[in-house]
Amino acid sequence: MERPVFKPLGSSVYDLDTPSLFVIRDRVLANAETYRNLVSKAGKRLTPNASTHRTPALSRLLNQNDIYVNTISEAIAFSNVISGQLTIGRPFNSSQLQSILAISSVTPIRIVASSEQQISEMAALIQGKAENISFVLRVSITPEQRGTPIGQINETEKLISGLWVSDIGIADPKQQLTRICMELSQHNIPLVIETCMFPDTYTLNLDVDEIVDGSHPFIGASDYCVGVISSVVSAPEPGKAFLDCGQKAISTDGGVPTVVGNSSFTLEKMSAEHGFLLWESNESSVSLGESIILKPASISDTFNLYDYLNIVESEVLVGLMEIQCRGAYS
Amino acid sequence: MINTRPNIGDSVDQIPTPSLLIDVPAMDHNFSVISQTYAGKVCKMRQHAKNIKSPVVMQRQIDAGGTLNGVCAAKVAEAEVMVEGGIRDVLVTSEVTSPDKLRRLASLAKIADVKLCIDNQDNLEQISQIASDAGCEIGVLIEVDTSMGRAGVRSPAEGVALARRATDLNGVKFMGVMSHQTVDGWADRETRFTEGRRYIEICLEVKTAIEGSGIPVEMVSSGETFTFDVAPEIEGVTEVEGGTYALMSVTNGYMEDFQIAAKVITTVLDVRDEYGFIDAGVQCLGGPLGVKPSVEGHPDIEFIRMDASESCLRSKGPFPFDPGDKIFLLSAQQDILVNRWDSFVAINEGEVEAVWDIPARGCHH
Repeated sequence: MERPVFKPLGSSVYDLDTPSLFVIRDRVLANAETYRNLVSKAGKRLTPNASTHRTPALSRLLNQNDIYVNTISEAIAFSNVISGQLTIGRPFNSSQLQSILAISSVTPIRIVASSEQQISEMAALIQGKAENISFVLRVSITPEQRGTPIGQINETEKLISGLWVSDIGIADPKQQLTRICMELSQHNIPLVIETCMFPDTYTLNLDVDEIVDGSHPFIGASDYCVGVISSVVSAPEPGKAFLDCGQKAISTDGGVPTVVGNSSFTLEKMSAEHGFLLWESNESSVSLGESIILKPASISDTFNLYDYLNIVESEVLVGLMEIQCRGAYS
Repeated sequence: MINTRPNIGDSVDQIPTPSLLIDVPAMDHNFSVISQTYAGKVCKMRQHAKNIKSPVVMQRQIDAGGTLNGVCAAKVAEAEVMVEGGIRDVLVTSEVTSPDKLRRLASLAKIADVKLCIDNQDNLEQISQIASDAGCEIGVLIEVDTSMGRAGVRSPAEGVALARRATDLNGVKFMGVMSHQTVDGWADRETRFTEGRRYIEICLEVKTAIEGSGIPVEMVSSGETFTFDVAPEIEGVTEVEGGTYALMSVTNGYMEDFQIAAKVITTVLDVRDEYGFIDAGVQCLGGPLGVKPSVEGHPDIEFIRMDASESCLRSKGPFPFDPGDKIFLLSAQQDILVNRWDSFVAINEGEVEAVWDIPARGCHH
């Protein structure tokens, strides 16, 4: 487990033990509100994807009441803090039934299933045991998406409360999904879209009832909202330094991070333990121990590397949250 | 972390998925290769905690033999976990510049033999000051850049100057030199030996220069998994910093002496024609810069896409598994994988033999 030296609230972000993950409170709150208003104005419902941040306390801060999570173990943790509906992205089986029933005793659940057969099987498992569990059917737009192909939706399963489409893995989602959503609207079942395309807000114009998105609090405004603060641990030659933050402390699953606040710095690459910082030696210099803030290319993957989230405002530490669902994969 | 832990004696099929498994016989085989290779040698293995992050597993190599009873740690927090786990000799293989961390290291040095690498005189003086204030002594090794353009001194003269300064200061004890190196791609035995020897010789040049200035050099810590059998044959090398060999990964498959011991068990969620969908995604598998795992026993199955918590696979014909079936994945980058999990499920003869926590997961401080 992460073992930082915890700093008292009121400390400067630059005094945090490095590498540490932080979010800027006023910016994420503003981003969340802006997007919520946009979705509301478009006449749609917003379900934040809380698996992006895995932090139940952050859901409370962001006023996320209806949320989506990927796994049942995440759902267990989030069920204790939300007051609305909890959508779980995977079907459950008989060995997971007790967990599902326990969650449903505190909050309504909606399960995203791949097929109508799966829905029938889950409905049989809960019959007479829970009334606040509903199901949506995941629609597969390409063979590389899990779900039921459009032409195979039979609606024989009357328990379907919605159709679920996703733009993950779709090459030209704006064009394709406009056409597909029109086609699916003929079923007269509420239509939900899960998007990973934010800040592109094309989903606002689609013929859907609900948008599921996780990144809008973190990449909405022009300024960065999520950072990892790191330190220079070696500067062996002009124009080159090594940071104490590598692939284990900031994800490179979605690309190499960028350096905040100094455009002359670039991250050449990252090893497991270190980042390799480069600059034109006549433009800048760094000293040992100097703080460097990195902006992750993949926010959700980076949250999954930390156990603690520092909350910062005006460069001052104002809160500390446990990333309770880090590693909650099952 | 709120995943369910399996019970001891459970069959593999009963393990919640996804889970990170250790194939115990494969790991023990790897440990025995080390104990046999280093038997009777001056040079010993100093296993790297960055790959395993569990003192219980590290101790298993120490018990098997071939080591100097100590380990490496990449970060101070990782060193703390190793010492708390009962290991009393730790070399921290990254430079440390934060006063907070150096104070933690000084505290550790009061109960264990703690050593740290350096490449800068200001940093050396900082370490000296903090260790002196704490009333302890921290061993220091000069890092030598041998091939990677990373941290480390660039010349024997720089090494001599640092060693000389270290011998003048209180709170630090000059121990020797160390280096890291890698070899690109799929290296055959001849390449491993030629390139490995070339890199290690660069480190030894600094050692020779320091000794030439009248300062004794006790330690030369060099070599990694790919030179596990090269370094002990080179006179002057006292220890090897191997880590990957313990659990191995697909990209290191050219190291044929070792077996892959780390696997992720996943469940097939859905199947359609040649496509299969599993309940393990990039967040539990790790995919730095697009690297993807392999499916054990099925080289014809490829990863099409890793999403956060699921992946899409494709086989050349109809997907050879049904929904609910288990699939075993082999990692391409083992230490990135381990850092995403809180426990290993140790498997022997198809049953859960133990569940070992990974207490140094996330110890990047």
